[in-house]
Amino acid sequence: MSIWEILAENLRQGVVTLRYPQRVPPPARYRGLVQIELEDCVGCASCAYVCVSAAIHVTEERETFCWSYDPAKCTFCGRCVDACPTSALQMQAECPPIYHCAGALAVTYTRAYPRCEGCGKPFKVATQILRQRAYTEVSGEVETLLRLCPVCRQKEAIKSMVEARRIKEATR
Amino acid sequence: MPSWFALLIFPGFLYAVPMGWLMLWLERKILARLQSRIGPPFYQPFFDFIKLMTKEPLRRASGEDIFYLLLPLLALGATVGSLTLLPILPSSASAVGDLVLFVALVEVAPICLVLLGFLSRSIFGQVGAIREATLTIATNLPFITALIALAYASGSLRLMEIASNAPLATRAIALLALLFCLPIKLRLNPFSVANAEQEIYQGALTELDGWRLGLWELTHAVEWVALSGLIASLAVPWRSGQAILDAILFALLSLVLVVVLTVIAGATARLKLLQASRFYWRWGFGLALLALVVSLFL
Amino acid sequence: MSYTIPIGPYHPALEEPYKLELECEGENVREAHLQIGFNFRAIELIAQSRNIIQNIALFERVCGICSNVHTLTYCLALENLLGIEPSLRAQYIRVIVAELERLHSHILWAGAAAHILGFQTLFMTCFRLREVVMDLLETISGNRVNYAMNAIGGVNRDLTDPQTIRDGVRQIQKAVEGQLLPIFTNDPTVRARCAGVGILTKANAIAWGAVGPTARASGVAQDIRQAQPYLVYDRFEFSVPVQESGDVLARILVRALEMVESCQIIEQALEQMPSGQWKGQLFVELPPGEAVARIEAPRGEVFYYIASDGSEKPLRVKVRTPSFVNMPTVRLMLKGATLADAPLIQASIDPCYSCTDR
Repeated sequence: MSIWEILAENLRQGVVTLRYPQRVPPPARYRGLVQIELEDCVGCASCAYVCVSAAIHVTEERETFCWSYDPAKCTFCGRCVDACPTSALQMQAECPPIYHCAGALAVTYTRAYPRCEGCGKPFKVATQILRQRAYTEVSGEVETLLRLCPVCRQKEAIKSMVEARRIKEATR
Repeated sequence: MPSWFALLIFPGFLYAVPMGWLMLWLERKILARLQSRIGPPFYQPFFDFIKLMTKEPLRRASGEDIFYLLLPLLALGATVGSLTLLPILPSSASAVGDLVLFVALVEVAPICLVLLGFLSRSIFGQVGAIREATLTIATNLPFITALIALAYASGSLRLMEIASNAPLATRAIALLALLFCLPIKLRLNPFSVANAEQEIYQGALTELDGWRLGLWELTHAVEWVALSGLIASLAVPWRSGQAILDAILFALLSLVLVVVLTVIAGATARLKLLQASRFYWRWGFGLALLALVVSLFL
Repeated sequence: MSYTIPIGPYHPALEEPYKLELECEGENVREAHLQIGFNFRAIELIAQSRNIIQNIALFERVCGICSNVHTLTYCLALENLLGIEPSLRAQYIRVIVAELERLHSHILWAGAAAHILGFQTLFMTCFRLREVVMDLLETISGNRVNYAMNAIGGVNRDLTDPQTIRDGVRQIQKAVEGQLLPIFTNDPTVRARCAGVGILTKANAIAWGAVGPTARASGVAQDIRQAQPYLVYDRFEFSVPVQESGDVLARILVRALEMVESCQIIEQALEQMPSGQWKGQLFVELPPGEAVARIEAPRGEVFYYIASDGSEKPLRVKVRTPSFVNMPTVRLMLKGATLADAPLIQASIDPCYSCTDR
């Protein structure tokens, strides 16, 4: 094609650019703002570990943990989403909004640790997804055990072991 | 028709300024469409002008601003003056030797540009000024030779008589040679050497800002009208006698020239100074010389 | 009249900050001086204070155009150190993204060259074509510039729609062969500006250690994809375009022909790509030791060296970028050229200053 043919072709094709408020929709995999599903988060801070620009911070208190995210610092690399063991993080498939001051879109979520059903102390709980991954079949017994804190779980385990030995001896 | 009418109304300020803006817009719009872009709305050059004029300019040494004011105004006045000499209407005021005056007036703008370039004391402005001066010399050889051919063929130095009397063969070749000169005089591709943005920024205009640049842009717009007008008014010997009809014919022909120049500009890369000069000395001057030979022997 | 004219650090022909000082005699360049370092970001030092996973995202930002080659080389070096090999599917995905990026980089460069030539229509044609590649990359990875595709031992995203890529690549190949090549080689004004301008002889190219298309345009037939195949490059049939003349036109030709070859590689890769695992693995610590990796980036050889003391952070990461190696050759090319050629000549090595000032 010579340049004249290209000019003629362009003229025939008509306008292909868009006037500003119109824009091309982002693709389905677009990496936008990071969103958290708080119910699934266990507060493991893997996302904060891989975040190169320190956009994500996870801070732990005695009874709660905080997940904070500042899009102004985010490089939208998506490593937090890939690193999340419970798939609690997602990226929005649309362009972030325009904002005027650096921290305008920053979010902080605080979540209280669930309390142990035995002793009532707060503890880090395994979420549904983690449970599913660890035990392919989650039985009712495991469910009850997982609602206990590690200390109570140990007690429960010893209790059941003692019980089992007692039954074993009784049957002998 | 009184001369104040020619200077102020048609084809002077009142016609030339909006027409110049229209031409600047048409150039940008056609280029955009040739590249499948939307392009600017028609009032864009006017808005550009308003924006430049209302901007707060940089402070400069007090002695300098007088030149930044006077040089563009001189160029603007001279260019509008050259426009009034064009033989558009049958009643146009035509004096003996107005062809010579036209050439003199139309050359004021490039000279002012060269002065502005040196005045700016920027290295880019100076290189731009050198390039502008070199190219002005290179392009004026075919430009003036073609005009001489036209004057000789029609036996007169009056533009009106050239427009009506020049024989067809000479007229066609000489006008083609003149058309060759337009891209360089309007600093368009492939001869946009003096304002080659990627090499020397805006050349001589690099240091101009605010109203200083705005005035020059206005001059540039009128340059478009004057130079395309020269060819448009000499192209057709026929005049209807009705002022309105002749004016419309003239305006349309000028706009056709804008389209032609823009399409050429859109299809070419920028040449180098030496290549551009060589082109004019070889092809431009060759064509003008041919026109002269034809006018001598036919 | 002799004068010194500064091109850069802010200049319309240079997108990035660096300075070229030309000593001119009229329009002729007598001597050229090069200054870099206006945008030095100390990325190698920052890398020593980040863990290895954070560093992937960090090295993605060494370059704004060829971001993928940096993460790719970094991950290859880490994999060498860890002694692992990514799955076959992951390697094919890496090849496809790398070649798409080469297409993107070369088309961008063609556009930049056209812009410097003052050829606005050609510039627009190139950038319109570039959108096709950018859209492909955005569909695959979710971002137009920083693809974040590479992970240690795999990739972060799978290729789910090979047909879209195949269509896009065919469209690009058709446009490169039908529009860019003929205009850059046949258009009289472009030829007048490019042919015989900025010549780098073969001897000089070797002596100054030029790499990539710059060297190949001077007759040095070297391409790491063939000389020392990494990933799965040994499974494709492709040729390495070489030109002998060493001028700007030769560099344009080499890049244009390389684009066609890249299209062929992508088509073959899409054809051969096996199904299977593609995900990377999570490594927190490195074994003590050192490793290197080198690949053929769009601009030439990219080289990474990693040393580790067994902690989560690397002891040292050394990056060697092709622009840094190619840049001194500009001085040779500029001697005796005209001022008007200077921007074009410096652009013809496709310099990337963010790579150089990393």
